[in-house]
Amino acid sequence: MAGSEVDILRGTLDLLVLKSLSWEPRHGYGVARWIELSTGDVLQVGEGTLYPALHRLEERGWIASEWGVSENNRRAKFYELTSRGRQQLEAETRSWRRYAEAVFAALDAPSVPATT
Amino acid sequence: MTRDDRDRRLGRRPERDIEDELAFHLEMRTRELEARGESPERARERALARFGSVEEVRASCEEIARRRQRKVARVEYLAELGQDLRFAVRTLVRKPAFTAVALLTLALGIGANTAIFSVVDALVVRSLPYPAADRLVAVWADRGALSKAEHLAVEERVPSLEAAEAYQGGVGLTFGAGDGGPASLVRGARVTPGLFTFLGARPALGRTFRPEESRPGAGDVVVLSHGLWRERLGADASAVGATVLVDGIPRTVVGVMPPDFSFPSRRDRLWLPVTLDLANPGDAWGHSLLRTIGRLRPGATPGQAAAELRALASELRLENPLWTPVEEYGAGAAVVPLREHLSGDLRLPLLVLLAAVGAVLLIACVNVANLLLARAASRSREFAVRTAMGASRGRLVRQLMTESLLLAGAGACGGLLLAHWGTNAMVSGLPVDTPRLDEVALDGRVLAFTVLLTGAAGLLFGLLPALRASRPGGTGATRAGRDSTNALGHAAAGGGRHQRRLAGALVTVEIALAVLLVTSAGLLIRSFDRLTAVEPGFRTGELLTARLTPPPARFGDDARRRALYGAVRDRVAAMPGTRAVALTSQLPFDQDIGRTALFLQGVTQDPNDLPMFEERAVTHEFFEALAIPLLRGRAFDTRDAAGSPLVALIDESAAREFFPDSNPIGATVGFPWSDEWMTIVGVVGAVRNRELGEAPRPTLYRPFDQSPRAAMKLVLRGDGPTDRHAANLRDVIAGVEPAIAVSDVQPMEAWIAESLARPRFATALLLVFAALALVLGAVGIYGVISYATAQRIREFGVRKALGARAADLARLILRDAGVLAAIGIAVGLAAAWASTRLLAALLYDTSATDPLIFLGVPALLGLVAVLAAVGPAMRAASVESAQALREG
Repeated sequence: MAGSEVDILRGTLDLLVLKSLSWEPRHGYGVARWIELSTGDVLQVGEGTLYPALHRLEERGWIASEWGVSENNRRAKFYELTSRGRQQLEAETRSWRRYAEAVFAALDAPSVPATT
Repeated sequence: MTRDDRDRRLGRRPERDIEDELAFHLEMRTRELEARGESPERARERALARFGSVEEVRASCEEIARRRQRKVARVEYLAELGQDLRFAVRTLVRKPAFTAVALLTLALGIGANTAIFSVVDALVVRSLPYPAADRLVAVWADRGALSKAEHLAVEERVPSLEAAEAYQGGVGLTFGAGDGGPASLVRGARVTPGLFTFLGARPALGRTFRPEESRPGAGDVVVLSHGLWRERLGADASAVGATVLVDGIPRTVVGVMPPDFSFPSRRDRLWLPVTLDLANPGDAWGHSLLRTIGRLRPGATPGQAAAELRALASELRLENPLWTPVEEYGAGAAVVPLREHLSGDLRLPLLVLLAAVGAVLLIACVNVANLLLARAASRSREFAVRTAMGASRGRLVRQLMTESLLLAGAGACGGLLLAHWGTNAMVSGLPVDTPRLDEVALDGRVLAFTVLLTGAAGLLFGLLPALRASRPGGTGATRAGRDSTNALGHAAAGGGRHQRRLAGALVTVEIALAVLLVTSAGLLIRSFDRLTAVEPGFRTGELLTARLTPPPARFGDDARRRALYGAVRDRVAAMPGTRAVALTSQLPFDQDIGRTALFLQGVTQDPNDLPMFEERAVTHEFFEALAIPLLRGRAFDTRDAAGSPLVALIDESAAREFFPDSNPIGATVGFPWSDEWMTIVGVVGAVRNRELGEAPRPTLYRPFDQSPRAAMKLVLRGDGPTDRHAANLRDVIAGVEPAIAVSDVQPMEAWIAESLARPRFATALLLVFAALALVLGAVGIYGVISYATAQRIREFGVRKALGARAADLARLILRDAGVLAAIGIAVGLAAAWASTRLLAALLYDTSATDPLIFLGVPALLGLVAVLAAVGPAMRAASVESAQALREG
């Protein structure tokens, strides 16, 4: 296998899925493409894991599904964010940012960090 | 939402959807790669590689989808259930008469079953509440009681038994709390010291016996029951270590048992250690009073133990220092599981009662089923509408079953109340020395049984009506008639012949069951009647009896006893109203056993073959007081005093058995081991001894003065009713000797009544069930005939218009009822005939096919059927043709 493949934790995948649906409904492939493009293809998902994630999110009521017609006239299952899902997205975004900032701070810290 | 989507939502299999979804993704990815310049095959390959394992993904998604489906189904199901329940409640409330009748019927049926089951479970079925209960056995059970030496031999020399303990229950003792209060008589048990540990019983206070306390001289200890401790020692916590007087002997209280412990029965309120003194052969071998229970080694069977016991018996036969028992001694020695042994003669009557009460429940269920069938017919429009609105048949059935189960559940609640009361009534109706009586309770097991029974009943009476009512095409409905206010006789919206026939068939079953029950009850009543009519052999009226127990310590020798009872005799004779007074060591019917082996010179050639006699020491007024006739020779008189030649009387059954052709007068009898020899001077009439139903056993009488006992029973024949004398009696005796415990002061008739307790219990209960069955059966017939009549109003109108008279119509109805009843009675009689063998064991002097009963019961039930049909018949007769034709 080539390049820098990073395994994505399940929780993070959920977050990305929710984000990808925050503008408009997409089908599964669309979500995969969005993640691929917006993360610069750094995260090469074992794409299959996307689908259990989508179904799980639907089970929990954060997204809802509907069968429709895709851009090239094929039958596809579209997912959209529910209002509860939107709240969940906001909450998880906030906590992810906090987490990331903390890790960054640690990575930039000297050998003996300043105490507050 | 398209139809396609709705179909999908409504539960088309999600596997297709997932396949489609994944296929779409793979196709899109493949397209994209092709667009980038890959060949179609390579693009596909790369798309798959990127995707990962399709199988795994599909499996995951399917799992999630299934989970969702299950959750949705659950929620829907619960919602529907809630709907059904609410609807069921409304439906039942709307028809209060119907609901009330059904509830009452079910409460009676379920309640009675629960009550009987709780008794049967506790006394017969449940394993004993002791450790290793399935290995506990009654040893030498066929003999009933062993001597101390025999018990010790069993304990030490039967390898299959890992432990054995013995007890003697129901011993009458005087108990003084040491507080100066009067001594009273209590019943207690003598036990081997290890018995409590054997039973896994721990004391509430103090300790139980130590092994050394069965040695002579070391046993001045006593363990009290909780009840006795509360009553006589005021539940004082410092009772342990206190001194009490038992039979006049000071003993130290070493322990108090917890309130729920009783052994061998509730009647025994204190425990004393059995003194085992092998140095005294008379004590060790001479009395057989102990019952031995043992615990088998793991893996040993009762059969093995019995074989070892028989071998041991043949050894013991030769080791007996007092006499040599017969050849058959120990030949039939049995080792029986303790649970069976204790429930012994209760099993059959209880099982019969259980069957009877089950029949009552069946009848109740049939009645409710018929009620439901009638109701269902009037609800056919409701069902038709619901079916049209999309309800499946299964859904309808489910709803109707919910109603039935709700009905059953509500009935069960009432039933439990009834059962509580019924169980208490039964426990007080059973003899107080019934083993395990304490364990009877409405506990978890019984409640579980009730729940199961309720569910089964609900299914039983609900399924048929539910299936009928929900039939596609309805119930063959014709136009609905006007509902009458009679809950049982709805002018039905249809149903027609099928329903009537079904209802009729059910009622026939009911009647058959009722016949069976009433027949059995009738037989038992007859048997009880015959039993109470048995002549006991002596005059029972106007006799007051009392048990006198002086402290044995002070009255240990013959002279003192003679003096004491001489004084008692004189003073009681001097009481106003006394016509005769006598003393005896054993009263008829008072359950105390006094049996002995007797050597009859010239008759019993073989010293190994000694017959067993009942034995009584009596004052000479005894025969006159009880009006026992003197048949030959002379009775006792003042000649037969201490120091005079020893004499004895035998009764007629002994004379017939042992002196059939010769004159017993002058024969010598006696006890070889004590070298006492007596001359028979007369023969008296035989007297029933323990049970009215048992033939009299050979009995030996000795004059009291020649064989004075410590504890005696007093018999007083006086003028007028006995209770007047009772108070006087106590005072007079207290005047002679205040330390005598006077107890069981009751008329002779009370003793006889007590001996009848068990048959009376069984008969009374069966009578109650038979009455219930009769009432329910009558209600059932009334309901079915009434319903059928209401349905046929139109037909009657037509007949009337065609010239039928009122009487004809009435006769029609009665004939229908008669046919139903006749079939039911025939089937019932056949069943009763078949079950006679079962009942025969319970009957006294009554043939199980007693013609009076077998003729009387059909007559009774025929009458009941006709009476039940009178109402509907009259209604049929009063039909006005024009109105009926309009209504129909």
